[in-house]
Amino acid sequence: MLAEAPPPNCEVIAADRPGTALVDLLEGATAAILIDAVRSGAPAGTIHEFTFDELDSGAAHLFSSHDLGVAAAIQLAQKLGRAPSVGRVIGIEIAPGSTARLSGLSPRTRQAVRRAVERVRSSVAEFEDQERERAQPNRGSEPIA
Amino acid sequence: MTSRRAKSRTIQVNYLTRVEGEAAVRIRLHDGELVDLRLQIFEPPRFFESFLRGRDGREAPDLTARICGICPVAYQMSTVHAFERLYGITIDPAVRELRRFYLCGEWIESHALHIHMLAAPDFLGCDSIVTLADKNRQAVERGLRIKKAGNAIVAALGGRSVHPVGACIGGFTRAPRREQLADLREQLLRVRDDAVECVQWVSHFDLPAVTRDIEFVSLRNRDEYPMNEGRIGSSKGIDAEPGNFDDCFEEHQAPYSNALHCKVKGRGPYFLGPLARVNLNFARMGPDVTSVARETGIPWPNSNPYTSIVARALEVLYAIDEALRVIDAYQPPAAPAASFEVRSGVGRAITEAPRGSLYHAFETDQRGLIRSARIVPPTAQNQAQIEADLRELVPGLVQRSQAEATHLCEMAIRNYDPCISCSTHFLKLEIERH
Repeated sequence: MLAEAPPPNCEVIAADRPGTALVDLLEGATAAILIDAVRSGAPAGTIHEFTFDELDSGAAHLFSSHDLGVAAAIQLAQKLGRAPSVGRVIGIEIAPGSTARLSGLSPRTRQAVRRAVERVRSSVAEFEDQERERAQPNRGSEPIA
Repeated sequence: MTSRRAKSRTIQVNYLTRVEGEAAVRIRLHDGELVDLRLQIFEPPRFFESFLRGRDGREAPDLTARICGICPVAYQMSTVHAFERLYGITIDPAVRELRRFYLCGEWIESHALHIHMLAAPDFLGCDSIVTLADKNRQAVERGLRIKKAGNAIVAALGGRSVHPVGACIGGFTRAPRREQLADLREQLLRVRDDAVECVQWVSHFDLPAVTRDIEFVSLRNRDEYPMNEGRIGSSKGIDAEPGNFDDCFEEHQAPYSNALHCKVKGRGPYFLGPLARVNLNFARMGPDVTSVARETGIPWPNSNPYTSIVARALEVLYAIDEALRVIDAYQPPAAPAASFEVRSGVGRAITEAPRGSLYHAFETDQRGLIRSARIVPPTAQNQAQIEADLRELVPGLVQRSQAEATHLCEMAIRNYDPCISCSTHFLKLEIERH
């Protein structure tokens, strides 16, 4: 949905299990929003939202013999100075998958995806407003280089 | 992921449909003496053997590739080679080279991940790669560059680096143009120096000095470092065709584990993986790599499982050199894949996955539908050897705290880079003292 009509000044990247590649993807961005499926036990379709800085330090231990998890990759990017100063995660709660058939998204999750997309657009608009305010010279702030 | 927000909650990001297991070790002591030791590692390939039955063999490479998220290429390679033996297919020499190139990419990314994210933090007293970056940012940056180069190779042939699709029975769904491979050349040349530094870095770790009586097993090949072809060889005299896997090794069900334990027939456990390959095929790495190996001061061959991390780093260097060789010599094949007719029969093959020899055997009916499948991954074959290593550790564990004992067991298990889900602390250790 976002790729078909990306917010202004944004690159939309679909990264399938990026692992360490997430560190590269974050580099060079002024701000980043990561959207991912999550399972926390909350009802399917719940949207969780938090900043990169709100990730618990224990998340760095959560990785697999198969690659770095999202949280650990974010923290590694921050440690290496490659993460944007503004970073947000939007997690969409999914229902446990059906083993009987390929079930796809539940209706609630599908609705949540639409809400998450709107949240991304509004977040980008908020960020652009903040950047414009910072850039105004008569407020005494430095222009953005 | 977990959050520090005011209301406590846990967010678990779990994108893999299979449940990756943990490793569990149960040690029973009586008056400080070992009575029993049991290791359990979850083994998902067994479920794949069941649901492959009845499927068209041509689907098998894409299905078996999903057994593992870090070594899908090796699973594809063992599968396609087994079916090519079954159907009597001869692959184009250029396809043969591309397959070595493909597996080089997987070795590079898998070994780089293991060295920098799992093993190095252990040896350097860090609890994760994130804290390792505090201690040695340069090493972490280097590891990420190396892994990225490996991912790029896999993506060039498989369409993407995660669950690549591209290998098929007879060859590849498409063969790259020379220019596409040449694009990777500069990236590989840049990380070659990184790979040499990585060997030097890990060889200076405080590696425990142990010597074990171990039977190392890997493919051996007269002309080259083994990847997709060769004979089964061992440090105690095995020399056999891959099709004779069952003449050399036997599996038995350990009553306490859902895994089958493997042993050399008439002998005992055996050791697969980079250290086995380096030990058995040292000269085949070529003088540019063997000179770096000798400079470490570590004797090759050796029987110290803790030098596995150095063997992995040497294989990263070898794989970069081999990938560059393939790129420089590459001429696209006349056709990306050989055509074939399905028939009934049995095909068997072994490929050297990052973690060691991976054995596949398939039986098909006249329509090419799979009647039976057998997949024996290196982690399963290594379980008996890992148990043997843990038994050797026990005298040193008796006086340790639970945390110290667990950490020592984890380090011993990590020499084998087992294909399991692991946090920095993955092991459930239970010690019963009577």
